[in-house]
Amino acid sequence: MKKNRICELLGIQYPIIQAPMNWVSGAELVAAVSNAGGLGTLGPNAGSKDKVWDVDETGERFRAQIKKIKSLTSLPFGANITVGFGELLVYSKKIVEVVIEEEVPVAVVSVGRPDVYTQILKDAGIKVLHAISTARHAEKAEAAGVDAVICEGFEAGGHKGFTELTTFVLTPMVADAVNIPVVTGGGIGDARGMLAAMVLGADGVYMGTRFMATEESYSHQKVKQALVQANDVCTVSLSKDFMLARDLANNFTQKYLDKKQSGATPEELGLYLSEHSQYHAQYIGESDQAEICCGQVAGLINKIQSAAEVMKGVIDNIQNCIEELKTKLADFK
Amino acid sequence: MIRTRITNLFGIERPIVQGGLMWVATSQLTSAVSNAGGIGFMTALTFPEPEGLRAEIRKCRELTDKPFGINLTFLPTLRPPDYPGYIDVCIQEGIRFVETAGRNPEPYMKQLKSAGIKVIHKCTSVRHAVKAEKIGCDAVSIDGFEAAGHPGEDDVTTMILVPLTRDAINLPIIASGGLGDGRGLVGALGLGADGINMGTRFVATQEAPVHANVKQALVNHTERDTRLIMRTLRNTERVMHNEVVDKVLEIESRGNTEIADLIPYVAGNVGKDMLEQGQMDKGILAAGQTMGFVNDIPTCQELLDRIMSEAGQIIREKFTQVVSPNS
Repeated sequence: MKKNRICELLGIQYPIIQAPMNWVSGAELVAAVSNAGGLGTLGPNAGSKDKVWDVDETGERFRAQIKKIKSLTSLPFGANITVGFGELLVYSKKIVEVVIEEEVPVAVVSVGRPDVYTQILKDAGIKVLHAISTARHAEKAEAAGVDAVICEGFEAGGHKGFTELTTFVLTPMVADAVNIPVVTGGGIGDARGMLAAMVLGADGVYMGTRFMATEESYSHQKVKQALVQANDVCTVSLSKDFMLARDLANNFTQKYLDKKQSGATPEELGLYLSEHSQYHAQYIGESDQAEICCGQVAGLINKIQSAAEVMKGVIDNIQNCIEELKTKLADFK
Repeated sequence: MIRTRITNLFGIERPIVQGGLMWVATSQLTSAVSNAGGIGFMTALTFPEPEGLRAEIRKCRELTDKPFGINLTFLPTLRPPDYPGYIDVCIQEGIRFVETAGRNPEPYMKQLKSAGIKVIHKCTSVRHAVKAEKIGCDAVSIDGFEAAGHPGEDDVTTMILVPLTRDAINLPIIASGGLGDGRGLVGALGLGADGINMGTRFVATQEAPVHANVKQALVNHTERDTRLIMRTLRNTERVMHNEVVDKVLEIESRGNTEIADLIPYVAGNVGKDMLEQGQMDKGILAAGQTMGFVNDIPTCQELLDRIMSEAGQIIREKFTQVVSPNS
């Protein structure tokens, strides 16, 4: 049997990557996912108790989380580098330094160009996974030397490009466009979603929202409850300055849309966003009045489980899904 | 062949459906899909009078002895078409399958069901599918956000809609939106669907009765070349990007849009002329993100053979290879 390319690349047992989440995916969640055979990924601001603007302090808080992960698992894990643009690059530069110094095995790089940090990370022996949202960007990332691409469909939570391509369309397009392994995210919350993603051409899956509603995530209890209660039309895609953000629909998103509708300036919108940010939702617990980045898959989440239970549920059920599909297709010819 | 609840429902060999396509789904395309082992549905409203539909049904019977059906789309118009008349024709001509779309088919369910007709309702949300089951439909066809034409206002994608609908109802499900090859077929079945519907992919076939320029445009455009128009009217339509679409979006961006402002660009006859005459900058063409996979103009037989062959390869080779853990 041929080995799975993502498992081989990352040295993990199951091709399931926990997507990094701002304020949410911290040491306990990361270690739990890795200990269960997947790849946990540290997200920005996870473990912080307040917003921080100092670059060095940002780096040291990230380092503390990495050290904590290492104390909780000896298995491979990842850390998120949100590249950013312009003046924000000083933060990602610092994070890259810390990731290299701490010998983090895998970098999950998002929101930025693949030619900024790929080489320096690879020179340090770190595996680089780069998030993209079109086949063209996947080709660019491959040309820049990344080890694998992560494609995120329109249904995915958080920030991404404007193209609105869905997982069903984007995954096969990206799989056809590049030779390196492809990880797919957006809409995957159970074994059915994982099976579909693999059939569409992915080598591995990228799950964020499903892991937000776990016991180990730093998400506020009120946020986790909101995810459990969410239905099929629970999210909204907000158009921000440079990208789209998919959020749980709540008072915050409604007010944002109202402000936009009534002609608020970019500065006014920016101020509103920063005063009702993910920090306010995920740490303070203002789950109705602040931003909760999450995917449409929230509609499929019915309970808060441990990360290991989520992993086990997907892995155990995928064999059942395959068997069911094989029965369905028994007469195939 | 594949046995699913959808192949059983229709008595067909392949779980692939060509649902209603205004002006495109006539006997020529529909019979070709049915002859290739799937099932086609002819769009009733393509014919202004029920008698026109009767003639087309008879023509289709000459072209195939396989099952096919009729699509009835209920439009929110002031002067509704003669729906009972179209249904009478279906009954008199022995049609066994009707695909309903647009509004809830409840007012016509009694007439359809008492004639033994199986009703497949096209939905764009889980709550519509639940309603369809409640009023006695026999299957639902569910459109994801990536689909061509009118995918609703909720923007929920195939990846989410199919499993959530599967969890909510017991009826057979036909997945629709973003599907154009064997990967899409097996992926949708894996999510819990019993069959798939394709629209955009079938317009780019030899048998589709549209101008060659239309088919070539579907081949030339990519997955990134669709736009959503009429969002401001809450009648969203996914279409191929062109100058007319830019004009419509520009008008909509001014605010307070009314349908009258857009009629010169989106009226049905404008689109019909484009399909017939192939002037691709003259009107609006419904098209899905699936355009990314449309790279050729095969016959329906070639297309369905290929999809089944790809599906077979995935099932035989890929399942063990990619899904099994590296243990």
